[in-house]
Amino acid sequence: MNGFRKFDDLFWKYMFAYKKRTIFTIFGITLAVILFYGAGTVYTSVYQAYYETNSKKYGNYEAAGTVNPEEYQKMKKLDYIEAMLLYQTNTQTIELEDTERWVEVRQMENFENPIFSYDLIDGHYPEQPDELMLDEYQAEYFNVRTGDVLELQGYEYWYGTVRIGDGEQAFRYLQEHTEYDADGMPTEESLQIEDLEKRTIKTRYRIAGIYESDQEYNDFLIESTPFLSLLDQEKEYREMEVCVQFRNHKNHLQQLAKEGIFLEENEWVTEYLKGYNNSVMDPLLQYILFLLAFIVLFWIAFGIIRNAFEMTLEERVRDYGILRCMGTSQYRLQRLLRKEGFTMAAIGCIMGIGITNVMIGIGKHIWGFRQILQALGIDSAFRLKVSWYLVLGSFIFTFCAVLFSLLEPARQFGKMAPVDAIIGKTLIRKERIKQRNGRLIHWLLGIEGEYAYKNVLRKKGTFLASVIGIAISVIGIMIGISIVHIMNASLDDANRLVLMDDGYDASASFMNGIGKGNEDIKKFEDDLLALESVDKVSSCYATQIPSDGETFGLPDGNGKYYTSYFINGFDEEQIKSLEPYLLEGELDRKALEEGGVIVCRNIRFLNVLNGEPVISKEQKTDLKPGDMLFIPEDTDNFFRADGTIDRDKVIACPVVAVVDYNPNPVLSGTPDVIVSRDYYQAHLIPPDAAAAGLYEIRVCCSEAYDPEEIFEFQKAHKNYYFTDGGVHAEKDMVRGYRQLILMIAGLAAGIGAFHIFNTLSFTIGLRKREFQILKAVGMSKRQILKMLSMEGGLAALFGSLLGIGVGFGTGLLLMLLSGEISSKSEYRLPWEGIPISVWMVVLITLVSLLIAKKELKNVEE
Amino acid sequence: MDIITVKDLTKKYGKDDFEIHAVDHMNLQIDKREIVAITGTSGSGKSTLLHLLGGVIEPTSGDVILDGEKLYELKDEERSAIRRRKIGFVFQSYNLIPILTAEENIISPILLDKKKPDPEYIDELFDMLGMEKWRNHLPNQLSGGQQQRVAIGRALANRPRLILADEPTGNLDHTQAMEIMKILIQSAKKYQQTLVIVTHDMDLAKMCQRIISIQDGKILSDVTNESTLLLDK
Ligand SMILES: Nc1ncnc2c1ncn2[C@@H]1O[C@H](COP(=O)(O)OP(=O)(O)OP(=O)(O)O)[C@@H](O)[C@H]1O
Ligand SMILES: [Mg+2]
Repeated sequence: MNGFRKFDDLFWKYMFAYKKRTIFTIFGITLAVILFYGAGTVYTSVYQAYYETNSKKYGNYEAAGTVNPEEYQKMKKLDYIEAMLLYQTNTQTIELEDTERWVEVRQMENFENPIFSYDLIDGHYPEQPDELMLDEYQAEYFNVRTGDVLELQGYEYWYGTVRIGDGEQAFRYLQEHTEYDADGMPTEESLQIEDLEKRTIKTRYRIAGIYESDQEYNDFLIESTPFLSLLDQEKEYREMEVCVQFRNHKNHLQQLAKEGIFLEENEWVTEYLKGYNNSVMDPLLQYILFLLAFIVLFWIAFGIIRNAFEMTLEERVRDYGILRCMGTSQYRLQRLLRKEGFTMAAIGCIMGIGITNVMIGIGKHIWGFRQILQALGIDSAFRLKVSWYLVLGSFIFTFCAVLFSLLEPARQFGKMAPVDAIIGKTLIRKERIKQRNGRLIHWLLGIEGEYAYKNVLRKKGTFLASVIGIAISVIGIMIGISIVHIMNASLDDANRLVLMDDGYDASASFMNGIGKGNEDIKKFEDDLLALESVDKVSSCYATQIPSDGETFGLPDGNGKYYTSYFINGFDEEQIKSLEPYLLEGELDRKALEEGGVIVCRNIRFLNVLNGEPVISKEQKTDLKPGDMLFIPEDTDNFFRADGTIDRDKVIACPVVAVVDYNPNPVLSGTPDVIVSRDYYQAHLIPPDAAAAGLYEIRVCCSEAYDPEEIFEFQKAHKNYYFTDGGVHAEKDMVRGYRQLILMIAGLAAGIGAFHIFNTLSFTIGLRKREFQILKAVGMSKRQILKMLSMEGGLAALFGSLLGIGVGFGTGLLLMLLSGEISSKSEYRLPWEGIPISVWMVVLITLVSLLIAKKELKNVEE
Repeated sequence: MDIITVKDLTKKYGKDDFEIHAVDHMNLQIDKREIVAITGTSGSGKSTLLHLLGGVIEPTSGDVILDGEKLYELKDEERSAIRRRKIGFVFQSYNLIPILTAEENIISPILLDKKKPDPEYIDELFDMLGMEKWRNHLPNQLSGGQQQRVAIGRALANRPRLILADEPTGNLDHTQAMEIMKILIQSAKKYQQTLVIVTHDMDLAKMCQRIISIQDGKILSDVTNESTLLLDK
């Protein structure tokens, strides 16, 4: 290679001459940069995508709420309100085959406003109040297209919780008849539904356009995505929904409240604005986590670079001695080293940043990552966001690591006289090895062991490098597994919160069950089971018995109070499934058929105690076998016309068994009473009860769950209603996270492995002469390899111990922190990380030995 | 006119019972253009003395005055500059930079001094060393004698006033050793350099003008050798 024109050209000549070392070191730096820059870039990209998604969806409106016309006029005059957007939402139904569905019609002032961005895929935005626009999946579901006319119906006086639609009469009625409680909230009891005349009004809308859905096949979409129309300017609305944008994006909610106008913060938007404080995580905690991450990454980078330099120096101690004798000052030598370090750091940085950018760029197309993005709702907005701060930060980060790494080796080298370096004195000066220990090890492990032990003591630096390498890999794995545990715990939580811990993670029911009987339910079940997405189903027949506080309800633990409960009609199989939970009595089939009941002594709760979520049980009844439970004869018409309960018509049912709790509860928090399915249908529900008393069909989704199939299923059966519960999306997200974390753990393991290979190839290169001497003295190649593997084994042992220790500690810390962030129900330490780490360490050691064997061959040649 | 003045120079190694005076209160003067051999038994302190003369180890006490400058009162930077400009080192074990070719090794001190190598002078050096054919060979592609020639070339690169050679022929057979000696002495004459050679081979020592023999870090004898002049013709 020509081009030795300046003395400092030596630095790259060295880089080329020691190719392997250079490449390993650059790779090490690259991986560290990938970790550092990658974490930062993913964070900024996600943040950016959130911001874009949300500001696209919700505009820059920081507050929203319901106001009346007077309030609206008042708000118009407030100088701290920059912009307002009015809209009106009402609920109407659409008729379908033998059922009907609720839809929300949102009437907007205009469609130019960015607050709700609806991208047209067909037609135009509504221009008249009688024009509608709907979502593409709705259009498919309802089988309508642009230009069609759709008939919706609503009640003129809609009485719900408090919402009043149009109709002066209803409004006045409400004003006159509403009673308010101490908090100024209207009490619902003061209104009787019979007092309001319900009259259906049919409205015909022409479909002006269809807008793009922002989610794929979401079954909630049909209900939650609004039909859009234009506000009727002629009409005088009583209450309007308003979105508000404050001047300079300052938080003026307090001032508004002083005016008597109560709006809610639009957190989707304010999360990204200063002056609001909505972060999921405590900002302090966030900073601490950032700092921790930074320190960890810095030490990894520092460890890699430092060890690389230490080895480099040891390798070149002689060369540098010669250069010193030739008249190179210490400063020049250090400059040479710095140049080499900075060059490698720069290459590593550029490679790391490049690879990360490419990885994030294509990451969108990796299943796991996409799942996460989808779950976060930012899959369409997510783009690689290169933050120049991060790029600069990565360079500073590695350059600092280089400077830092050079300090100690340079200092040690500086202490040596140039001539000493030439004679080949190593940097480690003290060479006092206790003879006694050596002998003990000789006795234990033979001559190879003794040599290995002495070598380790003599070359503490390189030994430490190997230990650190192994430790980094192990720590990566342990922390990765900790995070997977936290993910799993959050998935478990999701399951528990929807009370689907026996694998039932979705449910189905009839839109309209009137007139449906057992055969229809059987067909429904069969239709469900025919789906690829469905594994098994279990029909849940239940009805709720409210408590009147005196006669009905379930006697509670003190025998004093009565609580409402679900009465379940179980088939034989379901009754059998209760066996493990039996506390007292017998699951006697005969007695059950004759009206015997099984009661659940406890119900289970998911509680958060001191920030730690726990599943707790609560005793709900002390009924024992032999006691009587009184069930109203007509569970459908429980109340009399005057609102009181008809206590005369009761059925006395003997308790035949008590179980701990119902593993398949209908609803959280409500105790259960179980009777046989036949008795339930024959005696406890009216013969014409909707869907023969079916509460829901619980569905256990299969691995092949496909939202598209469910969507098609719903389209084909308009009376079937399928609720996913969101568990699948969550599961997919967790799996996605798992994939991502495994990637990160793999990266860490890779860094560690590179580190070890680097150290090893160096050691062998440097010890060529030593090996030759050992061979001359009569050591066989096998013995040398044995000695090397013992050295490797020692490093593996200490590295694993260090890694497992640190990994456990960090895992514990992460779990404690995550407990603060969200509710996780079970802490588990990453025990299985140990066997995985051990396997990996063994693998790395074996590969190292293979490399050693090859290198030894080179030595021979 | 002397180029080197050694004043009460001492170098101790070890401590207490193990204390060794490798160089023991030595006083010495070497004139310009003198060709000096330092001899003595193994462990007598020859190398130590030479290293002290070249400023590559620190003395325990005393100083070396090189061309009027007190070597050990200078800072590392300044002493390094003197080393590369005024002194050329030749070692027993050649000590070439393994990653540089013969030519690159030779020009490295010139580059180190931030100067441009003079091609004519380099050609002349190669010619004198008899190494034209091996200009672009790496050290591990050269024989011991060839490597030592390159090392001499490197020592001469900056036209130093002083050449310090520590058993430059120690690893070579007799004919090779004579060759190397000839090259060293010839170049010293040609470029008017002062040459200090450490050797325990009396045959080689006799090729020099002055023979200093030392023992236990002290000068045992210091004689001028008239016959060399004959040898040298
Ligand atoms: N770095 C050192 N540390 C401790 N003692 C040293 C060191 N260098 C030299 N010595 C001791 O100083 C004495 C003189 O050593 P020196 O190398 O100068 O001998 P020498 O005359 O060159 O011998 P040789 O002919 O074998 O090369 C020896 O006793 C040696 O053990
Ligand atoms: Mg010597």
